[in-house]
Amino acid sequence: MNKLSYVKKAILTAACISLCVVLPMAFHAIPNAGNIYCPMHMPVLLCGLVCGWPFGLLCGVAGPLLSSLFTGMPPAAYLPSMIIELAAYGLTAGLVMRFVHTRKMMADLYISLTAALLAGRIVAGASRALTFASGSYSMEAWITGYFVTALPGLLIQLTLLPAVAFALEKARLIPVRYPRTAG
Amino acid sequence: MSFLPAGSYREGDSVLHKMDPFCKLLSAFLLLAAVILSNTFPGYGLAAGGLLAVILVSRLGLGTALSGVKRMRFFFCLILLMNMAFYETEQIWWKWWIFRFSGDGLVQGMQVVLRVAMAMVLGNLLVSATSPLELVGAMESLMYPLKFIGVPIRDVAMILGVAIQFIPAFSEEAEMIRRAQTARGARFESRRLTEKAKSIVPLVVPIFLAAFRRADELAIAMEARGYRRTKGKLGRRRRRLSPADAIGLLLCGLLCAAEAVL
Amino acid sequence: MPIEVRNLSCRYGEKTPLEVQALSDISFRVEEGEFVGIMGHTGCGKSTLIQLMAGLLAPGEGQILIDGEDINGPGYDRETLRGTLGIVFQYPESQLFETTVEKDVAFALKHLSLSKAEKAERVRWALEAVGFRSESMTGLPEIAGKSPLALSGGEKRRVAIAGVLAARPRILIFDEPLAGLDPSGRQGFLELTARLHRQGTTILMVSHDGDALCGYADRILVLDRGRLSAEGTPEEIFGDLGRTEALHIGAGEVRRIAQALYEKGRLEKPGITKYKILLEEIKKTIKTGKAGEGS
Repeated sequence: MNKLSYVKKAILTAACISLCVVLPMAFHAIPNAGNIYCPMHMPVLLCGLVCGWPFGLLCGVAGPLLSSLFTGMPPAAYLPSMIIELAAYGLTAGLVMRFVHTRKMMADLYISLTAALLAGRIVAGASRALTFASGSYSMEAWITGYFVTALPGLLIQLTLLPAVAFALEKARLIPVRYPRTAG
Repeated sequence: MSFLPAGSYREGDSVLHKMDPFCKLLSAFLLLAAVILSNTFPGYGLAAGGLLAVILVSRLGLGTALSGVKRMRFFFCLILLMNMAFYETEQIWWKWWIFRFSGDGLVQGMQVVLRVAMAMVLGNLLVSATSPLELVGAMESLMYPLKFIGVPIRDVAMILGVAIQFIPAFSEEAEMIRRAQTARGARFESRRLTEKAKSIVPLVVPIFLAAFRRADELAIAMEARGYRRTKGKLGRRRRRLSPADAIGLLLCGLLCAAEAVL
Repeated sequence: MPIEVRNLSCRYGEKTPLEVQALSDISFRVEEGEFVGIMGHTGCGKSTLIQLMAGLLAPGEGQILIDGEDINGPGYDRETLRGTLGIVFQYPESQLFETTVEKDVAFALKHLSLSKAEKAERVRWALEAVGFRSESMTGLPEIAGKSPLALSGGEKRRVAIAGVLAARPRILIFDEPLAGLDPSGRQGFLELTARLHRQGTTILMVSHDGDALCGYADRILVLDRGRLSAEGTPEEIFGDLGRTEALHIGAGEVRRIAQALYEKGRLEKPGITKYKILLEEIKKTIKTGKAGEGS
């Protein structure tokens, strides 16, 4: 498969948005899954990686929004900070993936994902600190705390997403990034 | 069993339910602005009064309106404590290490809690009285100005529509995959972190594959029928404002203006 | 007696306006080594029934006994059930996820206490059972090293079935296994089930395909709107086509052709359901020269 066409990117984005609604429901049966796996992060990150930053951004905004509307999760109060976080994920993942070419798919994935997850966390932490405290206490402390609690999630995303990306590549549903080395 | 979940929507035939979704969304934003702008005691009273009036009109009951607020009590306590401990003021009750407890901080914290709680009630009312599909439609209308900064809103609307259509099929498929892997002996729990991630690979990979395959098929069909990137105008429905819509919008606007003055 | 179902009922969406009675008061038995077909209109509760039997759903009322034990009873070990009963869902290829065919087939063995060599042997056996021959006597078939996601549709289906067979279940349940298969794939699959059946595996197969069930099943259960509306041998279910229609199920082509020929007086034997018998009878008729009258 060659490069993705505009229509294909658009529909894959729709599928990722839909998965933002469906994955948390599918994980509902697994105890505590929502907190551990952050199921909504996966489609947004993947959308950024595969379809590029504009689509990643859209997925990050629309995914949590539709999920909140159709399933009531996340509750409206968490929605703004969640949208900011996920939008940053989709945007950064897409941008870094576009500009980083190490000739190894795995390395590209790890770099983009780590950058995206860090950027998302920092942006979300900062936005929350701004909303609720308006500079009345240490913002650095807040961001650090917010980031440290996110480390397990980061490790899990770094394990899961490459597995998903490779499977999609093998099934010829997304284009192969480095055809010669992969073949 | 495949149907679209309805979220927190409660069917009804109150004035609020019947209001045009776009006007309802605009009114909600005006009220939200009013809640955020409120910073004096008469201001809080006015905002709370406005919300109470909406609750009465909606006939949803206090329980629905307040749902979720109780669950946030831990979070509210945290906000209170944080503000109490870190608020910068001259008049301090008790000082210890970096913490400075003050009465002003307590008042400040209570104000934040009150505003967040009111915003939550507002959100509850909006999603309980409007079906998800109507709300998505209203949001699309709201995006209209984004056209002028180059956002292809027609495509965005198309993507959202397709995403919604995918939801019932995807959730059914995800459920089948979960059952099939369980029958094959998959266990989705593990104590170690890396094992935890691996234990859900049998669930996550097939769900993504199924979703992307379906998307791929649809995209091919759309391309075959000649769908191209659109530059045309978004077909906006021209609607006439009903008296209830107009009055609602006007009242919310007045409330917002009053808060801005106060 | 591997399976006994007693007064089974199941509801979806309880206490909501969308409540559906999926199954009501179903009882039947399946003997060791039997091949039982399950037929019924879409939405008759077939899928619910087999998922209940596999312990994937909890029943509202009633019991399911496998080897005499209630699978929903307190203290029942689900791991036993996973080892005894295998279920192949509709379009099973959608559950493939591993990087190689070998790993995917071995997934069902992950939690079994088997040595590496035993596991490899199971994988080889399962792949051979679904028709992938290996070149050497001991090695794995060539396909084992490939990605299961890059295979053709028919190959994927066979690998997915091998993934269920690898655990060597004594009871196998198939949900619409023929959906989306081409004629040769269909034939291959039916031969596989017949072979497993001969080896003593108890088989339950949900299908719309009257011909397949008539040809291979010992007994057929018919579900209609959540109730067990008929039960019997293929001849009993399809012998009277008027009754078949009343049960809201369709007879296969073999049965309909046999009926048409019988009504025209071209066949002597009424109520033929099996392809082989139909073929023999037609040959007999041709020999006696009776078929010479028409085209």
